[in-house]
Amino acid sequence: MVAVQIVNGLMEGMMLFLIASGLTLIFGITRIVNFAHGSLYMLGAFLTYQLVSHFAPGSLGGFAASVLLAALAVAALGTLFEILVLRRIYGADDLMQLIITVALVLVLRDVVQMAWGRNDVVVQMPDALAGALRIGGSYFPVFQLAIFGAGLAVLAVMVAVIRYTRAGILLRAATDDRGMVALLGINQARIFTAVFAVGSFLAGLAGGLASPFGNINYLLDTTVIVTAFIVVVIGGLGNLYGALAAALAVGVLKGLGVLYYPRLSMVLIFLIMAGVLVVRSLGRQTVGK
Amino acid sequence: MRPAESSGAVQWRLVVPAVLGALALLATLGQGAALVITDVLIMVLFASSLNLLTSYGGMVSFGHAAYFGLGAYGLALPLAKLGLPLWAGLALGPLAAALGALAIGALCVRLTHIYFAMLTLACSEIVFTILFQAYDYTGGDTGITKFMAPRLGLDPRLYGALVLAIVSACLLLLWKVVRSPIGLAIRAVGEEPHRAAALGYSPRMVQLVAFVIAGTLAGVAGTLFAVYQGNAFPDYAGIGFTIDALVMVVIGGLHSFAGGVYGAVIYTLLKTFVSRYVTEWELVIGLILLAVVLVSPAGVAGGLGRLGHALGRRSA
Amino acid sequence: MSETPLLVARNIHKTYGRFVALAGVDMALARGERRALIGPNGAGKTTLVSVIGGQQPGGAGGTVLFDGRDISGATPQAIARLGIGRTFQISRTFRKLTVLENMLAALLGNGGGAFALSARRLRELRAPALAMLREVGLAEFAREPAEAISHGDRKRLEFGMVLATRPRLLLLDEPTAGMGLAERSALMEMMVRHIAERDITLLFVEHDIDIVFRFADVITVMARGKVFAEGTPAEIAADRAVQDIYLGARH
Repeated sequence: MVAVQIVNGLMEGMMLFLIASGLTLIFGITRIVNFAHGSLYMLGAFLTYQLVSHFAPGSLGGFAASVLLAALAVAALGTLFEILVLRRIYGADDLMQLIITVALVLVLRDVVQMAWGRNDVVVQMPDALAGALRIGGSYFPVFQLAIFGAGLAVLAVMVAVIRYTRAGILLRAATDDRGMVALLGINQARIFTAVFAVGSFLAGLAGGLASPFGNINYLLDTTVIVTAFIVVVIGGLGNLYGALAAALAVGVLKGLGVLYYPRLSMVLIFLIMAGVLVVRSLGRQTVGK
Repeated sequence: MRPAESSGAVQWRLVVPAVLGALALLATLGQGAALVITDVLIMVLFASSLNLLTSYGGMVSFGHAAYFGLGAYGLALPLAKLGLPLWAGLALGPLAAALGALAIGALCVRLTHIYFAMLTLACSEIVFTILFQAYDYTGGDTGITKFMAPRLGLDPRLYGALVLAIVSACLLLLWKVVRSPIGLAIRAVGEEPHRAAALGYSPRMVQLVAFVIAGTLAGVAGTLFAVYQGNAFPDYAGIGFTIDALVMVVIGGLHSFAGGVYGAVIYTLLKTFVSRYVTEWELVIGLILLAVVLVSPAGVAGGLGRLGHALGRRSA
Repeated sequence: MSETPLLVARNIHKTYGRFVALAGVDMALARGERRALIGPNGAGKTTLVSVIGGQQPGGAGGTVLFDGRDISGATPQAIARLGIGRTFQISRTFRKLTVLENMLAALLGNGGGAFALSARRLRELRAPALAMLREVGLAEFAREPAEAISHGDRKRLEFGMVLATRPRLLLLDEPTAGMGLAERSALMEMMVRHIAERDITLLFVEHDIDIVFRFADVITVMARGKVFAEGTPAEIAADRAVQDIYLGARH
């Protein structure tokens, strides 16, 4: 029972990583905390719902294509937002940057309600991924295993890009020392736009992939963003590997918590988030602002 | 930008007509309007309490609703579960918020910028989750209801006048705080904590004082709201209310005392009236917010200030 | 006046990761002395000033004694209250507050009463605040927000604010940086006049060699986190090694 819950937790954790990876990537490089990340996720889920209806019900290819198209559309929206709005307030104070992404949250929430209403919608699980796989005497839903695989694939691609490509080197330089990037004559605005596009894509992708998993509604945005914040903060803002570790840990903790202390598990997770923040501040002891 | 109201005196010239105007509206517009006005007034206090942190203390709290919620449950729980008298609940609401702000603030002021925002968020989510999950005590998401007559059983116009009196008193107190030595310290630390420390200030202590004052006043607003509704729900401590207050402060105008007032009035009226005709009121708020940040970062208060300046110059 | 030095720094060291900013610095300031701290960029001058002022997050190795009292690792506010004032390399003022409010904040931070709720304390401090603004030549800007006055005036304001806390030791980090030649001299003369009037001991970091030789009693030359040479302006001017590493590079 415990082992099953741990495995289930790991699988949920990978889903959390998919959600959090884009958020931490965007923060790491642009220092913007994108409150609209949950909204982009929600949009990805709704768009997948819309697109999947054009394919044969239950077809795996149709689902994959829908998720990909939805993620691309979300990426396009994120890019547009970065170019038209965010770009004008880099360097403004913290609150302005946060609040402008909150504006996007409000707008998208209503757009989603206008397009899909206030009722829950459900995306049908692809037939090929329905059912369960027997591993060591226990059954695990195929769909969750597939999500786990997808998470690993995203991670592999991100690591490869960051490690081995010119874009990745620029990204690392931009994270470590933005002044240096400017000195090297690299167009910082273009990096920021690209990062925002990728981060938005990841949000949309996560929303699409998770769409058959539960009900989709216009209230998804805040639940998702709060969860993403937990993972990103515990993992260390801007730290991709930290986000992975935190996502898996939070997933397992939730899984075990459901078993033992169903009511306290969320409180415990927020306590960990608060504890991580406080402990980190001890290392960084500075005069408080 | 000229954030500092340069004179410490209360601008009775503005305050008296505003209060009298609100009273006149309460008296003449009928019960339905009185409910809306009361809602606006409570939000004015809630937003203004957050404004002390953001505009004066340089602290962006993403968990201010925690103290609003504590104010509501501090009233509702003792009344519903312990059978305490009403006056005790009215005192315990703000007290619960003050103690919550003291405990949470003591942790949060150790952090800066986005880390501060994230920690306030985590702490308020802890409050929310406890209210939500401990249903044996709090009723969970069904909240606490029927522990008292909404609005003390008063005519909405009368309760509105009562709220008007309390909110006005709280705002006067807040004004006094801002214009007093501690207010100057809060602004100084909010702007340049290192400079302030090198002048002998203890930045964290000053920030904690600001945090507790803001939390207590948010608690008063929460208590008034729980009386107004005759109930308490976990959502009162949730991220939705926090975002509402932040949006009000930004729309109304950062770095201005009146920002919280303008923002709460505009936001609550829009929410009430726009949502009556179209469902997409959040879209409207979102677009206004975008416009404010991009066009007039000083918000409505800043815009009015500039307008007044221009008019004054013309007439001079 | 007692013979013990006002400030003693012993074996101060500070590293940032692998970078050694201070590698064992010893220094003693006599009461009433005006000491200049010079050296090439990265020599550790600002780091040393920050260690004395308590602005080094995580502290530093070694001991700092102020008037015989160990202040190593104390908070900046505790150090400020003991009587060590400082300005910053890029002057720090409360930019959204008016010039007068800046000065009031300085008087409050020092004289206590910062937690008072009554506005009377502020009214009492108005006259001393305006007087101090007059002393640093800023009375006419009292109602302007600090962000609206010139760079040089902000330096004057910051100096006046620190002066208002009645320090016994003043740390000035590049007091004339970013200013024109004529302005530099006038500003420094103003500062030194006030410092002399109040018997304040001075430690200042400065790149302008003319200013250093004109105003310092003793010069400490730092290089690579260590004290490279120390002496009167005449001695330093005659020191060939100093000329090689520092003066030579400039002239």
